[in-house]
Order: sequence, then structure tokens, then C-alpha cells
Amino acid sequence: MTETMSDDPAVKPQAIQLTRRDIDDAKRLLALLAGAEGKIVIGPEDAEERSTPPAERASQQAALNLLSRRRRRHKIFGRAMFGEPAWEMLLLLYSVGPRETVGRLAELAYASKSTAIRWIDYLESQGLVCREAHPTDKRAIFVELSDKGKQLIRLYLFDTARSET
Amino acid sequence: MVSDPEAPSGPREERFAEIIDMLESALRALDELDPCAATGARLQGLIDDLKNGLRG
Repeated sequence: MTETMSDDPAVKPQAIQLTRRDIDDAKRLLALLAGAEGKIVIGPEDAEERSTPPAERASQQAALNLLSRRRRRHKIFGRAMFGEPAWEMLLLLYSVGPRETVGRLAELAYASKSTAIRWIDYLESQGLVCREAHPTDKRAIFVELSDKGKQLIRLYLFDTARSET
Repeated sequence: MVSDPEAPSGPREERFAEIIDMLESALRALDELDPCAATGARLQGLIDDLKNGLRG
């Protein structure tokens, strides 16, 4: 989904463009809800989020802050000077995840899909992420951090926080 | 005649297109050695940036 908006919270979004994939996702969600007969069970991701220990939540927030600083840098200097799609994808999966489709990850990391796929191949070869089939969309593949990926990001964030105090 | 809007349309664009061709050849050769190489992903990013630059 592409949204044209300002960082200023007072400015309302001008327009929201939905892709065919967004509409397909919405249709699938509506179909699931229609069959729920009034009872909606919280998915494992949400349950996971609720039981996330405070230290884990703090490190996820640290990852989000890192991403936010990167976005600010891009806004001021322009994107051409920088480019670390693999790092952006790891931070996104850690902070926003736990899993995203390849297309969505590419979009969030401001990389083309072909570049994102190559970086995901590399990250998978290093044991940092895993691919998983989408439960309802045969065209989509989910990417999530492996245990090793999570451990290494936690280590990085912990070391960074310690060196800054 | 209908022209391809993405086709190179000047000496600079033609040179860029040549560079992209060379980089894509290098990427294919690299894929034969290691399709999961980080260098391949960097090269793909560079090719995509060049193509976007040409388009836009």
C-alpha cells in the first residue's frame, strides 16, 4: 500500500493508493471474518506480542529508533548516499515483524523486489532469516528472522546500548 | 511509429544502457559461482538504481 503523507501529524494523508494485492488481502480477511461466526481468536503473533518480556520490547523499540534515525538521515541527505537493504530488512523484521512478505519487505526497505530477493537469499544462506509459504496466498512468501538472526540483532542492540551509556 | 518510453534516447542514456548490460553480464557470471553472494545483491541494487535513474 502506498500512502502519500507528511511526517507532520497535523497534516492529513492526501491519498491512499491500494494495490491489487492489498485488495486481495482485504478480501481474504473479510472472507475469514465472515466465517468466524462472531468469535475472533487472536492469532499467535498477537498472543506472542502480549507475552513479549519488557527487555525484548525495549530492544524492539531500540531497533525501531534505529530505523527512525535512518529515515531522518534519508530525508535530510537524500536516499542516494545510503543503501543497506539487508540491514533495513533485519531491523524491520525484528521491530515490526515477526514476518513480512517479500514484496512488503522490499517496499519497506525501499529496495526493488529483485534486490530484496537477492538480499533475502544471502540472509537465508547465512542462517539469519527463513522463508515460509503464505497460508492463504500461494504467490506470496513470508520471511522471518531465524533464532540466530534474532540473537545476533539482540547482541548488536545490547552492545550498542551499553556503549552509549 | 510507437517508441518504447523506456528505450535509451541519447548518448548518455545509450552509455548507461551499455553499462547496465555489462553489469547484468557480470551478475550472471557471478550467479554461476555463488547465487547467494552479497556482492550479487549489491550489484543487483546498483543495476536497479541505474535503471531507475534512466527512467526517472
